[in-house]
Amino acid sequence: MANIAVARIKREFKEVVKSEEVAKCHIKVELVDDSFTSLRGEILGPPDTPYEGGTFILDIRIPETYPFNPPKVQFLTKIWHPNISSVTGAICLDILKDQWAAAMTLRTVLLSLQALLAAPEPDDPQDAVVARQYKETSDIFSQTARHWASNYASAPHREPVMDDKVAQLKNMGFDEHKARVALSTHNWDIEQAMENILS
Amino acid sequence: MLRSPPPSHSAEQNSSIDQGFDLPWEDGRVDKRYECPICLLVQRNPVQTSCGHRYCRACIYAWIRESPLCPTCNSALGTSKMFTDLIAEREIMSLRVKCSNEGCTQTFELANSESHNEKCLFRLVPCPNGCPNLLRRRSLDNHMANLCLLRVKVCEHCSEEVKAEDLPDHLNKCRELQISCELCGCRVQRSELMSHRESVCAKVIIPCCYSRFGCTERMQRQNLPSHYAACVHEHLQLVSQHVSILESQMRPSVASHRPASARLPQQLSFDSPYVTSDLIDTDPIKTAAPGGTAALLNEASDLAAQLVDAKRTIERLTSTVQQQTQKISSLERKIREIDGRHCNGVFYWQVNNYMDYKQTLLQGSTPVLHSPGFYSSFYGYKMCIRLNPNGIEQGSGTHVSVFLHFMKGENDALLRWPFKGKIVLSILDLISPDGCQQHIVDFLSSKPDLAAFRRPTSNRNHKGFGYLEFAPISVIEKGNYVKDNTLVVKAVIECEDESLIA
Repeated sequence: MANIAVARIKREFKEVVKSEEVAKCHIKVELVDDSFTSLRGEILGPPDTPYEGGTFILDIRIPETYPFNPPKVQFLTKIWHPNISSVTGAICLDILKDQWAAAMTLRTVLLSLQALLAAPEPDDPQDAVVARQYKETSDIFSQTARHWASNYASAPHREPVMDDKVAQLKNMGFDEHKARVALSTHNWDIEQAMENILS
Repeated sequence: MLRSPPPSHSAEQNSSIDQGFDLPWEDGRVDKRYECPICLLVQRNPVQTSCGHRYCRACIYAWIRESPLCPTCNSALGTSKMFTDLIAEREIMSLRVKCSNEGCTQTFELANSESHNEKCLFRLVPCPNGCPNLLRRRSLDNHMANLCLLRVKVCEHCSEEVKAEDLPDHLNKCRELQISCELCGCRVQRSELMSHRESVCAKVIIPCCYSRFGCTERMQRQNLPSHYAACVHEHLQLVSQHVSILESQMRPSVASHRPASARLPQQLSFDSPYVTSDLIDTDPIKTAAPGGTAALLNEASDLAAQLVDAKRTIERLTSTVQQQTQKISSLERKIREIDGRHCNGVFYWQVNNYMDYKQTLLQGSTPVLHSPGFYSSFYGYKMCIRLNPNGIEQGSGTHVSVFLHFMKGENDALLRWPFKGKIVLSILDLISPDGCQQHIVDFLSSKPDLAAFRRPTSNRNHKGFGYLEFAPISVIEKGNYVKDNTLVVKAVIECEDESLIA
């Protein structure tokens, strides 16, 4: 990797480790290997959101041309959010694309993602199904997002009704995650969800 | 959508751009306002944008290739609206840094870091001899003088130039090194050990010189005189026994060659008319032996005495010859020296048996020949020519190398040093007819800075001056330069200032 990219990541690494947000456990960065090209990020779900208290793991890849091009970031923790693919974890965020600026850092990227969890942008969606639910039935969206956060990101607030529905389908022999996706996609209507899985 | 990945050349440019200063600052940290938001280091050649943000020149110009907006505030950038921020640059160049060379405790303004590093005694520099060590500058002199395995040392015994790492090996072989004779402890040159043992060594064990007469004693050479003194009688007995044996061996021959043996006691002539009658009556043992044995014994002891005398004479003569030989060789040296002084700066060196030398040198460890010393004028500089028939260093194996070495001379104290002047070295064409010769000629001018032209401190200055690639070996050997197995190197010395100090 180009010297400048490595040198900068090393400096940023120190900056993130020393930052206030790390002290408060809001964000975290770890090395995956010694090459500084592949990093593991962590953000805490922001308060007063369905993601509150959850821990979301991110895969961060540093391109050779960093910081002149943005890092490639995606969620490894499954999440229900209009701007994040519930299938791949891919993120739709302008600063990770054409609004990237060389003055941004790993720290600002992680804080921006935290802000994105607090303020979804349904008009520029990554996951169309989630975005429609967010716009049309925002209560169901919030509950679904909380349900996913409690199951995948160890968030403390559970949604017992939804847990039961997933358990029902699971007991019928369906894969738990497939059942959860189908239920979430069909606004927790069990029959539609089953039909969807079987079709 | 992600922008398409930048072309690969852009990555290369990024890797080589001159990003900010990453140094051990005296205060530990530098004020944030001097930090470049792109490389996060202290700004190098700071440039200010029209929106008031500062970056390293290289960083912001690299960014402009990617985006037209300020990386900090997204305002539109334009190279025409950016300017070099000299105030910031002055402030940054006056920030104090600690020297990053391990062991150095100095601090200085950033502006002076290069000049400090140029002279910092703690900076790691490569060894100029090319050995694999990196050394702190302050220990370089010591390394070059005492430690580097590749430094050139002059053998104090034979003046050969040897790499320090090869010196122990060389000393194990140096023919001019004085070694102790293991037997007598005398110091002798290695090359003379054999002749020392053969004729001088007091402790070497040799047989008594009467061994051919039957003395079985073997002793150290130093004990021979006392043995001879103590055993005169025994030796005489041995000699007389030997003589008796000889005598008894003679008897049968006396019997068969009567005329010859009869002559001994009676001095009879072969032609004597009495011979025939005597033949019948005379028993040779009765007539010749009894009286004859005593006479022979006397004769033998006379001979032994003469032998001792003769031996003394020989010893005396031998020592005289030795003295004369020494005198002759010292005279020869003097003559050579005077020859060298009379050449008046034009010296012809005839290397006889050149091809044989070349072969020997190929096998040996020291592929070099030195000419006898000669002088630039009667009261001038002394020097010699050095020839490597198989070349050295870059000329090795392809070229003949020729150098001039200054030597300690009679007049050194009177002369101006370093030597100034011109030197013409040539290898002569010995075969082409007159007027068509193509001598190989090269001109040298002295360079006062070089050690080669300083006053010699050893018998032969170990630094020389000349050509590693004087002429290709093939040209020398196949051309017109070796005739009757002889090569001639000519040196012409022209001193710039011949006048003596005194």
